[in-house]
Amino acid sequence: MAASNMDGLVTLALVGTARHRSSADTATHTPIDDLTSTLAAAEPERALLLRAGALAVYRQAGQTAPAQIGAPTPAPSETRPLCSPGAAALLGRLLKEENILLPEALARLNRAGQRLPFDLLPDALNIMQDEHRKLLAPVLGERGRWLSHFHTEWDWVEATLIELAGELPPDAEDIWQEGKLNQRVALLRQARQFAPERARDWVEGVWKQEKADTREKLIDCYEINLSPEDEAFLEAALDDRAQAVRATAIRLLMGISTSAFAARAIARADAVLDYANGKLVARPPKDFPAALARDGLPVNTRENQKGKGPRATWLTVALAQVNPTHWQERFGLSPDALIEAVGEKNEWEEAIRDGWTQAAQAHQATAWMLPLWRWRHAVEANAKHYSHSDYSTGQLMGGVAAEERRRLALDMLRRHPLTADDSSGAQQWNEAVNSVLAPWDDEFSQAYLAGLYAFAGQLTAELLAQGATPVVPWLETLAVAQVALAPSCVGSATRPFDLPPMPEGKLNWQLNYAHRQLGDFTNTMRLRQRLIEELPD
Amino acid sequence: MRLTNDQVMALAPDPGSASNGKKLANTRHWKNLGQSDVALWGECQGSGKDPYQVRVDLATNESSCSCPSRKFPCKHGLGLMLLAISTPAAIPSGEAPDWVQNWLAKRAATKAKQEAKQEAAQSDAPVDEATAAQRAKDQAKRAAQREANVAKGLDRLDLWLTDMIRNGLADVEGKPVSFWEGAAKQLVDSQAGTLANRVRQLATIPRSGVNWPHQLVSELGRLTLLTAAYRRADALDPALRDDVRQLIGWSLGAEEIAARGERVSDDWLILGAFIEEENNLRTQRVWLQGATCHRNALVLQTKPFNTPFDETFVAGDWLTGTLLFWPGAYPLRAKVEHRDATPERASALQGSDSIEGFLGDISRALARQPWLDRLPCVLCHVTPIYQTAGTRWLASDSSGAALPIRKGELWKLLALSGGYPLAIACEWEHGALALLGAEIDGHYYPLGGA
Repeated sequence: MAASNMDGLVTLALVGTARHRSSADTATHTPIDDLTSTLAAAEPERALLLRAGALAVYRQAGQTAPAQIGAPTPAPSETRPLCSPGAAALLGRLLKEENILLPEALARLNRAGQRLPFDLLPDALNIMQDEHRKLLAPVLGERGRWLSHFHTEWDWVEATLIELAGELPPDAEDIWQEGKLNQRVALLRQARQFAPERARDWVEGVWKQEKADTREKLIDCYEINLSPEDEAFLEAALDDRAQAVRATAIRLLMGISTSAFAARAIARADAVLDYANGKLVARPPKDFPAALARDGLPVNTRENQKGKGPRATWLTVALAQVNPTHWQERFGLSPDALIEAVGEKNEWEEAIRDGWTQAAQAHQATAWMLPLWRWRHAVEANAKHYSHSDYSTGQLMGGVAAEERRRLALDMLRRHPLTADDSSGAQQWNEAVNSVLAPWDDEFSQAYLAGLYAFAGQLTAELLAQGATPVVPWLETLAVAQVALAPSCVGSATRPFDLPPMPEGKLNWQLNYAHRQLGDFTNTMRLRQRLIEELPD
Repeated sequence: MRLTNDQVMALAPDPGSASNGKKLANTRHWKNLGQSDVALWGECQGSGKDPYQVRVDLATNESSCSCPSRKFPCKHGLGLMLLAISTPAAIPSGEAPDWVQNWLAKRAATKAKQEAKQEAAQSDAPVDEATAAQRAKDQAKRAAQREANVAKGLDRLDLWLTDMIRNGLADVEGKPVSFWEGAAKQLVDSQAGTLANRVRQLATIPRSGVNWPHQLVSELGRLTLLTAAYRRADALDPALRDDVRQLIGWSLGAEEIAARGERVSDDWLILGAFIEEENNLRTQRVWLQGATCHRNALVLQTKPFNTPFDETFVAGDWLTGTLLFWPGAYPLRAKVEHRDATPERASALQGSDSIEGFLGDISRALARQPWLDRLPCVLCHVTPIYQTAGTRWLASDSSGAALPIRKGELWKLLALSGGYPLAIACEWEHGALALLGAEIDGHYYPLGGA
């Protein structure tokens, strides 16, 4: 009853001995009483304090452990062996920094069939990027999976494991009914692939009672294995209350070529784009029927985009909904010939260009990518004001067939190398090199390194002091190159660059920048070299 | 370099130095790099004309740099250590250049001088009788003056405490910090500085939680008990008398500690450290455990804010050397008398097998020295438990008894354990544990956090 002994003393101390009429009982009914009575204390205040002090120590010394509520089930034993201590040290650092080399390290660890050491698991579970999480999930081991159950922000592990499995889990029905949102979404994505009929039933069964942000995530899964069977559901979703759901439904319906939506889109576009006498003629409507809002077309005349007029905006949207291969069939012309037919003086040139660009990307019209990319760069080159290539231009390169991209970039590296004093076409050059699919093969990697070292060798302090910006394009490829270079070429990329020294007392921004970027590149290559040694394939 | 990246980062005096150090861990900043069995060195190009000369003593992990920074270790020292870890191949083995050898020689000389001084203090240096007598007289006079001063201070403290209890602690809740600070200052003026710190700490109790009156009465009681013990010091056991006098403010002189303290040589595992900042002072508490003697030790270092500590202790690292323990009823505090680098070795923490056993140790320790606030706690076979409901962390033994853990890298601890028992090292305070580290399969993981 130690607590109640102390209570009496505390109550008296709180009220104050002066306000307490009778002499209060400060006995603790413990051996303390005898002990403290031997201490001479004239005043009651001091007697109280001495007794409280002794009791505090008495209680502290007599502390007992509270019973606990029950231990969790321990983690299952591991099926994968642990990586080497060297690899562990390296992985620890890469995880902490969320380093650019982390994906390669994780992929190598996974290929080696090994797992992360236990002490790195919290850092690994805190990683936010989706691509990194996909690589992490298999190397977390049983321990990582076990640990993830204790923290709500780590529930991505179960979701990712569901998505990485080659089949639906045995308890799929339970997860769908009771799981967390990200687990249900992961499950639905799997079901779309392995059991599309079941996936449709699942969604239609819950659709009406789900909240808007959940509906948005569920309908996004329809991009997997999209088929005419999905049309009825998506067509109904055009009337959804949530704007994001409607936008996704439109995007997906565009991808079903036999859908009623696709037919409506073609009819709308055919009505405004015609070909006559070697020229394409666009006639966007002056009034926009409100009924077409359901299909995603602008109705509000004030709805301008990027300084375009409302009619131009309408035209862009109408064209963006139609697979551009439709125009090849309709007018019997190649993409290049169709672009040619737009003509430079066409008042709707920009609207058509943007519409086709968006359409080519949405429908993955591979044959259109390169012609559109060249077209956009030609326009940008002719623009009076200097402008960087816009985002959608760079995106187009990613749609070109992989082999074609590689051929183009190799050609640029070999036949049109970017030299230190000539940076014309730098942007295209950059996009081409950066678009080559990682990992680069040996031939391409060698060509890249040969070009890079040759370029660095041409740099002189005088050239850089002129303030032109030839350095930048090469340096902008380093971020891609350091992860994409073929492993066999990494060793030769650890050689430091022979750059002119920093002039004393004078700040040369360009040279400083080159020193820093190329220095970091060398450093990253050394780190990558170590990574390849620690986790060989 | 036997440290890990994390251990070096933990040495950084502030986050800015850490991130700058990281940037310098790149060969392009360095020239004339090299290492030997005892040192690591290199020249770092800074903003000035001449590169900075950076060197690291591998025995103590202390670095020195010719840069003007007052930070310790500076970013160059950190950068060099990080570089040695990330790119060992970039640092060839070889003979140290003169500027490194001179530095090492100077360090060795300083150390020898210190040791000689200590030895001189221990042995009775020959002085003539008259001088000795005069010295003793002066010393006795100063001591008597101080005794009187302290006694006056304690009387005033008693009055202050009595008033507080007479008027009731309910009033105290609204008192400003100056109420406590004033009492503490009075004690400082009376040359009872350590007791003053105890009084200053009281200011944090009111309104700190529902239970604050209990806590305040307990602390005021322990304080009163301490002053009562001091007044009856002659009746105490000599070891406890030393403790009580130190708790008031009489520090033991270096000679006295050297003469009466116990020396223990061993391989010491640095369990971890906590740093507390107060009144522009930083105090570091470093906990160690001897591999053979199984004794726990506490090394305290106090420095003004922004001034580096004299000695570097890296959690999880070992030091081979002699610790000198302060004399006392329950000797814990120690200082490093002699220190060498330790080759890498496995750890085997020694401590209590059960929580009941540990609490028994606490009882026995308090029976010997009732004012111990913090004690080392090594539990050899406990399972960390995280209660999601109350976001509470516990360490539980096989009987189901559990103690709360209030800080540390607890997720890492849970990851290491996986729901199975392991050994942990902590600091025990107010019935709860602050985690220092954990051991699995002979490997000690520092988990005290930054």
